[in-house]
Amino acid sequence: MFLGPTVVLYAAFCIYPVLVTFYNSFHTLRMDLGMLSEFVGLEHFREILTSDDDFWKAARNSLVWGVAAPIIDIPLAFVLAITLYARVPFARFFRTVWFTPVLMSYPVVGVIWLWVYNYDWGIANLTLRSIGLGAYAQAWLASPATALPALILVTTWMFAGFNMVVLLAALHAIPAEYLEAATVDGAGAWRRTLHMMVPLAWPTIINLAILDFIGKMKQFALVWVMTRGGPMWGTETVATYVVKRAFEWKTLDLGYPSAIAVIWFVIIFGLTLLLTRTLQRRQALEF
Amino acid sequence: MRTLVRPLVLAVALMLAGAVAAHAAELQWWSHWAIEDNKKTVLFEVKRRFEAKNPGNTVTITFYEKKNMFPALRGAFTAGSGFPDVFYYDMDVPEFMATGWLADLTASVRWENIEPFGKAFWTRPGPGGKTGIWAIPVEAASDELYYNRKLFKELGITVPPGYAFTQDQFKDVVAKCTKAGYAAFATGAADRDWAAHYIPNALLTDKLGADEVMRLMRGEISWKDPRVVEVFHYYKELIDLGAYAKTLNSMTLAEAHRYFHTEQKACMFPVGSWYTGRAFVPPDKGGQPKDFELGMLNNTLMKDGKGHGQKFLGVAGSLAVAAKGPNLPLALKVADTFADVEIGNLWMAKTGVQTGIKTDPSRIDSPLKWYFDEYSRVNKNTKWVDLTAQQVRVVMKPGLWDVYVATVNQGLPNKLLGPDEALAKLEEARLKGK
Repeated sequence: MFLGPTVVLYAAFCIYPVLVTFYNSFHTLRMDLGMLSEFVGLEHFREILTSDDDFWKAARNSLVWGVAAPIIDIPLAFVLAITLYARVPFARFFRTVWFTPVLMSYPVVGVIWLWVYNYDWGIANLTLRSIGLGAYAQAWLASPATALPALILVTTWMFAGFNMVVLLAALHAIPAEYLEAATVDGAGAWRRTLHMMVPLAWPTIINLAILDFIGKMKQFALVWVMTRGGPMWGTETVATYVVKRAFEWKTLDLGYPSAIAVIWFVIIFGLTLLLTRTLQRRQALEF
Repeated sequence: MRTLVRPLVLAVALMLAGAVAAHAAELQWWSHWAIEDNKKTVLFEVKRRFEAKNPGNTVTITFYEKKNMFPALRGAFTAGSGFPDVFYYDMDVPEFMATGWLADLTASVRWENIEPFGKAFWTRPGPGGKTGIWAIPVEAASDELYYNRKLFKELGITVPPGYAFTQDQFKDVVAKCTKAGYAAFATGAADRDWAAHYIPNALLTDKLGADEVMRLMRGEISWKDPRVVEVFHYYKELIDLGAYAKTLNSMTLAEAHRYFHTEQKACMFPVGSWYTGRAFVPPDKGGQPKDFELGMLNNTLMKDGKGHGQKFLGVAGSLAVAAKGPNLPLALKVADTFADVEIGNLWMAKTGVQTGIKTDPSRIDSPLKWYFDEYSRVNKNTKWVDLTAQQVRVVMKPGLWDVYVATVNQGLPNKLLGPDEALAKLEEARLKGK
């Protein structure tokens, strides 16, 4: 009874859209022809998987982002968390500063970093020029080679603080006696960190990594604001490609992009499951 | 008797007031041109006239940049609520016509006050293929190549009598600009898919001629046609000379205007003739400096070109009415308010941009007369082609357009790929036929 309203809302705004997307993926659904729907079976899936080069470019970019982000974000966040855990001077100030970016929306962050990456007056190139490395100054978002890394850096900047706060909480949850005992036994700071803090915070690290992976595999807003998938599909993600196919291609066929969304859902779901099981097993071995 | 009459009069007055209030509507109007004050002046005049003619009804105009407005409109129409009564419309979103989101204006507008070409432009198939007229052609624009006279003088560049350089001369112009530390073209492609299309479109048009260019865009001619290959190779030579600024990808259209006329970092600016809408406002509002010397050029003359003297011209910013808006009859009246020679004159006088509304040039009193004269002089012998850089996407199939944007708006000008690679991608997309 108490669950009723929640279940209804969840069904209306989560379950129903997902089911409709699955249904649409087997149809062409032409908004320009009065939402004319025609069953096409697995045709969309065949086309996407066998002849849609743009989808594969987008999938590769999303996957690179999904894998690279946790590898960069989590260790960086851990270092920041350790720094604060060690009670460096101005710790409270740093905690606030590092956490602030995650409070901003993607469009705001996107605009800020568009300025940072501006070729003429962006802080990135100004810094390089001021330290005599002007030869390395470049239009960061103008080449596929640098555009995707440039965007990954933005999300790292944005989420490092959030990951740091969660990890800091995990570190504070470690019983102080463990660390004191290790100190008495002669373990230095490095060994305490690597052999005690990391293993004890491991469940938190796994959860953050998986959340990071899922989040980056779905990346849309930042790309839309900063590059719209360009240049030359260099930052195209599956999410931006779905939106382009749904709303920017003048056919307005919702069936094909629905099929892309379904494929990507299955891939993310499968990879998340695989990642969770693999890391959980490793966690079990640790114990 | 008086004591009886007074309450009666009061009651009737109250009833009438109530009736007016009940029928009063507040119409919503979403418009592009957030930063173009001279265009806003015309829109506000239309609003004023509509409200004066329809007492009690009001119009609220909300200004957007169209890049953000169209997704919002698309979302609102798809959801079936939250959309405005009237709104800015152009060929960036041609699919709106077929979805049934736009009201057919055929019987609601005084078309005798609209130029035939403007009416013809918006006469297109709608839902179910039924032809209608879907928008008021407020703004018409040609694809132009503006230049900075002062920089040209400084660099010793002389414009030929016909205002068009030969392809060798044009290469020299680009080389002189870049050697002097300027970009040749003040193009910013950060927020427009077609910003870097102007030059290649112009070169292709001059080489192939309008009919063949249209066939190329429709996918009926191979992108490996030797003439197309020649144009792309020539264009690449310009790019390699440093024709585009390194800020190409991070510069927006608005910033490109400033780059050209305020910062004066580029010799030329290939852009729609709606340039004036942004440039002919006070400098503190983003307009060109008072002492800026603006000139205009014709398309470069390619060797053995079949399209000498041809230029793109098309309807640009327009006004459409939501078909399923709650105030449809009134919204149609707002659209009809535009269909007035006085509004056409005001538009021309204020913005310096052409319009699809009829005008009476003898009654246009504008400080921009020098510009109209320059425009007439340069385009005296121009043969207009019914297309603009923005409208190429309407002619192309979506898959080909996607590749055209990626290769010609991004890849080529950023030197990410060569002409043969770009043409191979375009040909592959053409053959896919999507």
